[in-house]
Amino acid sequence: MKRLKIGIVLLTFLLAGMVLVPGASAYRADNWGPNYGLFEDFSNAAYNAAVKQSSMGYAAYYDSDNSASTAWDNLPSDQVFSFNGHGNNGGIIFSDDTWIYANNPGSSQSISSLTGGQLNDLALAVFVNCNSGYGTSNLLTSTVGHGGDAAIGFTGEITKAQSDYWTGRLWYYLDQSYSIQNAANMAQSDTLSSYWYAFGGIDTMTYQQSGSGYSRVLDPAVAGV
Amino acid sequence: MKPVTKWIFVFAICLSLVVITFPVSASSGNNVNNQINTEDKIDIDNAKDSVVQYLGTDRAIKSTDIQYRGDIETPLGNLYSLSNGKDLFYINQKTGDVELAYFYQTSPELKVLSSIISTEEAKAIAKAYAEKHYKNFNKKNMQLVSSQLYDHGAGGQNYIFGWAEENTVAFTLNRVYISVNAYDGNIISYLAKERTITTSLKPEIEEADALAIAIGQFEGLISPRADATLSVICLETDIQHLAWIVTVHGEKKDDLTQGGQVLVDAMNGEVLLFNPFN
Repeated sequence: MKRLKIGIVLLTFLLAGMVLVPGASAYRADNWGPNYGLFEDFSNAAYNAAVKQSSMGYAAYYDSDNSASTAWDNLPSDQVFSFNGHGNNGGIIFSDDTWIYANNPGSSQSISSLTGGQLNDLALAVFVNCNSGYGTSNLLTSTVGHGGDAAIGFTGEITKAQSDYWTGRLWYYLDQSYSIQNAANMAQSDTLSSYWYAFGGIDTMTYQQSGSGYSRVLDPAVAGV
Repeated sequence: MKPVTKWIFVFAICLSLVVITFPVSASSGNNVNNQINTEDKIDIDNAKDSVVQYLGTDRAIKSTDIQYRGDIETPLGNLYSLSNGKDLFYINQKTGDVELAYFYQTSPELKVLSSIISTEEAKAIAKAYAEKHYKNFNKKNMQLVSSQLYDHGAGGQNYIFGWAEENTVAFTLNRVYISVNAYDGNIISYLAKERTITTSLKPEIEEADALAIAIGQFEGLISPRADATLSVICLETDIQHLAWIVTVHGEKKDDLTQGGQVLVDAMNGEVLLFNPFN
């Protein structure tokens, strides 16, 4: 009977694990949603994105209390990189106040320090933080400049409620085989439809791409080209 | 009792509970659905007809071309999600109104076009579209609340125009937003809602008090500044509030934006939503 109980427990864990880590997918999706504290917990947005990515065939992961170094170490092997949290056009910040930068020669965790094609396998990066796509040099341009196919961000300030919601709808439509651009547009419409008084900055979303990266469909899972 | 017997006993009790409760819950669910179907809800075929009428001769389609994708729940009511190919439509389940039309974008090469239409041209296109599709656009006091050209980088450029009904001092839920392709003037999306306003439009809380309440929600904000608009909002199903929508800014900290948006109930000062910047 003890074996049976242990078997049931193991089966439960296995089923739970399958939700976010499907089979042996060769494609990895990392979702970072730092929990900075009260009213500033972005882990749900990261989790919701991972669930949809898992349905699309990615080996999808999410974390909320990791250091930037974990995300940084994984980045070259990511096919999808998604961040919800605080930051600006020059970088994103994790819950322990460590950063990944867009273009900071003084930091070893700067996308600009990567070699030209080190992000060639990256199909999509999503930076859901204020001003991530603002200006001519930012997280998006740096990501695409080092091999990423497509990057989405925002040129303005965004609020948490709307941006969390937008993230969920973005991955919903990507899971429905909409192209990146159309998924992002539809997610914007859905966000306004639910928060029927303000975009919360979601209308400032912007893209960078290499080739025709933002018109790609990511379902079933793909890598960067 | 032997362990195996004990487990069989527990399993039997669980199974009995499922057997007893399932018909009750299923029955309740059916009753609720039946009530909605017969009293409050148009059927899916009628919703498809709404899309056919909406598109008119612009895109001659038949209702059989339209697929039902599912229901969508929003604070302002439930919608049918329908599609024609990859074009999407949301239909109000009570009124049959088309509340969203999204036309799938397939022309990424547009981004390389150098010229875009002017704001005035785009606004005229959007307004004509709103007048055609939003039933009471010209009967209500619709004020332009959004008029902006967005440069999405590689995603090209588009205009978004928004109109909201202004009733005495407050904006209502009656709004329409239209996105126009900046290169060719085609409509990308139409988003509209028309609702009966059930809340008072006379605020009991002054704007200055709402600003103070909103700023007070943020700890350690340096040199805070805020502005507000008065609007009817609906965060929970069919529950309307007259609210001050307050946007708060403070000095940047570690080069990060500080502040956010706070919704303050204009009748009693309650904070309805604290919504910081990312």
